[in-house]
Amino acid sequence: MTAAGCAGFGHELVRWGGLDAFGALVTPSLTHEAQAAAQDRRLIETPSGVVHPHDTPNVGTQSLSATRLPWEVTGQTPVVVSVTGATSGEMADAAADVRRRTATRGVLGVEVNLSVPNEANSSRPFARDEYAATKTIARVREHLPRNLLLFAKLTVGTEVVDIARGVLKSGADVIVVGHPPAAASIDVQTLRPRTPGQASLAGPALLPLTLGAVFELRAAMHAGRLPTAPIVAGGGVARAGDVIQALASGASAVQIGTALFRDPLAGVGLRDGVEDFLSQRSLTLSEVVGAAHR
Amino acid sequence: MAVTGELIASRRLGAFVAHTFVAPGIAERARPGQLVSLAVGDDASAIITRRAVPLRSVTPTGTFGGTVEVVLDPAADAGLAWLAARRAHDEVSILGPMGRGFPLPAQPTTAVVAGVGAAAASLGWLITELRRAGCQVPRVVVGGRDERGLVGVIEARRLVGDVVSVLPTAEGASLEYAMQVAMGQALREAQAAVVYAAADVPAMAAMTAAAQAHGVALQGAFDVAMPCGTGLCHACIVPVADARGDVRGVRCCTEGPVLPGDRVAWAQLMGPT
Repeated sequence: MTAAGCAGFGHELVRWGGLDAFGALVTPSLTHEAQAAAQDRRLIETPSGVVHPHDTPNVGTQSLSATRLPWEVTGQTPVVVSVTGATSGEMADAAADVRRRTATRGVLGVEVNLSVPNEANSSRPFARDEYAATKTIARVREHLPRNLLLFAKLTVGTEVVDIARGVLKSGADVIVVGHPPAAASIDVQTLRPRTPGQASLAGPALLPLTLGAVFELRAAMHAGRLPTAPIVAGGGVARAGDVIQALASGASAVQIGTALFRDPLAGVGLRDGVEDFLSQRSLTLSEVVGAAHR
Repeated sequence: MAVTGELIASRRLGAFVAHTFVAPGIAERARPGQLVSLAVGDDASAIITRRAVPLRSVTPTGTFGGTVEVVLDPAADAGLAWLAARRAHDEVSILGPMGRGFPLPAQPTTAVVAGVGAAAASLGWLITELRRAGCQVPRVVVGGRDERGLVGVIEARRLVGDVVSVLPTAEGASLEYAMQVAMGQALREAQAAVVYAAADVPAMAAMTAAAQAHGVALQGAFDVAMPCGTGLCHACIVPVADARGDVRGVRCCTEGPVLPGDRVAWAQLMGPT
């Protein structure tokens, strides 16, 4: 899968022929109402990563239309619509828009980005508040037909097992770990933040954190502390070896994000690399998934 | 189109480095003002984004097949420094040609051409194409932070003759102010109908102000950081107003880098001063 916000609605990847390698395209996170960015989006390069602001404009789910979908171009590649909001109600409204306005055409599922601040709880992120995360997923689930997969995107480095337990109980089908952790960069000349507002770290530097969260979740499932569910690893996956590590840690799929900034054909390279690995070792994908726990 | 480009020639150009890569398929399609996106480092590199840079020139057919030339500023950042340090036969992943090049006028006209720093490198190619379209280019204005930052002066002098070099003045006037003054003077003397410019945001703002003061349209190739060059990262946004005045963010790498100066929302782009 592509990661939200890193592949747009698929137009750029289609142009480069890089979309076919993906099982699904995740759209940029959409709020119920269109939002303009309050600041310029700048990427600050750090060793093996980039710091990027959260504040990105989006067209809003209210602008969606079944006759003119922004992901029309993806063709056979299913779409996961990422939704977010400042309150659980806004996220539910966004999910309702997806169902009503798109007739779920081409839509495989909805991913709820829970890493954003919750206005109703002193801006504490949903993904750090088990009650808020559970409630949000329950409200979103109410608006979606059962055949539509519900992905709950959590933040790495939080009480991920407890939060995952809550969202799985309230209707999530898949756990995504995860949203990049909060980060900052300071301009040494002005001594001011180079990304005013909230920002996150993305890129290969995150891989160990992602693998840690996936490993912890899968171990909790094996131990019976968490209902068994698919896990998607997202954050820092840039090479075929990273995909293998994520699968062995317990992920059933991976999301590719900033690797696409470096190479819009990264998905093709990763897919081919994984296939080579499997054929050289005479393994199947299912034999690799969770192998580190056996 | 994506190719692995072999570096076949490299030379210093004042403070900058000019690289020529074999890039079949890209050279044939490129136009002045367009970009190529170069990967930095190998798969294990700690720098994970690319660098989109303007093409200085292309040679669609030659001994090595199609070649493209770019001018890099190694002092700008670590990624450009890495690219500038490549030597003959090194290979670099190249995507291109990207973006919207300079729109040539449908009817022959008179144009002033201007550029600042490494961005000025593509002006020689542009002047040649303007001439081919029947346009007159009576004057070229080239700016730099210092003497070593002036690019393309000799080439422009060979093509046009009347070339003004602009530097920050000893009295403390900024390069932007000096460019605005030089542009105003050029427009008064040359009676030009259009300005073609390539510069960073502050210098482009100054030149646009001069062009607007003379009622002349400016087409500007923006020299901004473009970390992917494919439109995916949305980090090279320039606010541009449409015909109704609604402002939206335009990605320089795919929807630019050449934008009409009078449509840019300068107050928003420059931020609080």
